[in-house]
Amino acid sequence: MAVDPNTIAGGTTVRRRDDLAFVEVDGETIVWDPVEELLHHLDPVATAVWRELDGSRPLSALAAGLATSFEAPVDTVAADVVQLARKLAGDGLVVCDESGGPAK
Amino acid sequence: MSARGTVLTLRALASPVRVAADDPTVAGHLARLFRHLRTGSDADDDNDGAGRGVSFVVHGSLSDPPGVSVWCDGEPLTAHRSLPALRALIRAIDEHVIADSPRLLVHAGAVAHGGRALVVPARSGGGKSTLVAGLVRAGCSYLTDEFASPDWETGVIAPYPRALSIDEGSWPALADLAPTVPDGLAPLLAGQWQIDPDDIRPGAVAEPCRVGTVVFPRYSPGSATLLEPIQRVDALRAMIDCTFHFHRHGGRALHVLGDVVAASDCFRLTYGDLDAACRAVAAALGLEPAAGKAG
Repeated sequence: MAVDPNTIAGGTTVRRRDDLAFVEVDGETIVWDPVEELLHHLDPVATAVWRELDGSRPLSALAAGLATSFEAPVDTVAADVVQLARKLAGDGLVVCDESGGPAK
Repeated sequence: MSARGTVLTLRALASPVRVAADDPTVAGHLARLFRHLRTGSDADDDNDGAGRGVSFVVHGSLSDPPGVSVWCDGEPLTAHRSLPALRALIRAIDEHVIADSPRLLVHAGAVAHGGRALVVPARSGGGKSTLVAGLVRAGCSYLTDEFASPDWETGVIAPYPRALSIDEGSWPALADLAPTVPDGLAPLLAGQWQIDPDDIRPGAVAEPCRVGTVVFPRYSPGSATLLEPIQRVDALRAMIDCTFHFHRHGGRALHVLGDVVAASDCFRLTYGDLDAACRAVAAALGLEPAAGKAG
């Protein structure tokens, strides 16, 4: 289901919308939304997060993994991940289940 | 209205096109312009997933008033009335391909060298035909000056090697390629040269091939030549902008174009002089200079 960006926090689990098409080229991503007929461009940081949005874990766990990969402070990464997830939700590119837990 | 003269059966990027003309001079010249699109038969059941098809007829005689008129599927061709008759026909065929072909179509010229295609995406008036003509003159083989069509499965570019259409503004830069037009036909083609690729160099038409290079041209009179690499993701976005009916094809087209740019070196070319631009591109491709215009 669509997610209200303002409700997204570290404990929220979101995933990429199933009907989107996307390609990654040299670490950046172009996403095609067939419903809105819009293209979205994700920079390398957004692409790194986008890759992880499979709905299997909350954003806090996802951020912890990225912080390790990028050798960056967890708190900073977590805040950035939540902010990005909110933007993706505002663009209609991610969804979550009703409980806010792992997305179906 | 059926034609009394020669009928050409063409295959334009999987779209069947029939062109007939009453006047033998018109028919002969059209046969020359579209010679590389002609199929071996009139069989309409040879579809291979082809489009619906269309039939054009050029009625009338060059020697009799009121001259010639172009008909499409039995009706007078009303589009492009401001153009001379045969230019309107050529434009209508291109538009039929856009509407009817089941293939992915990028608004782009393309040449081949070393078994790899160099694609030149640009909107109308963007200089792709001129640059393609210059590159063929410089030794590349000719794929198209209008539609680069990657195969849905393999990404291989299929040729659309009709005669190159060169607008009047580019004539000085390509003066050595000025075509010979039969008497009486000049008014029907006024304002644009149609250059048979075999007149640039015999056997210049290329076989289908994968893309190795993408060059986005930007012509600016008086500009110095600058061939600069661009990010592949920017190239992908620009190619999408040049893709006909991208919204219709959506994700399928995105994946094909993504594969094309991922396998290609991508550049932006700014230039004010065609020869200098072709030298820059040739140098980037490692192309040996051609011997010059044949014939």
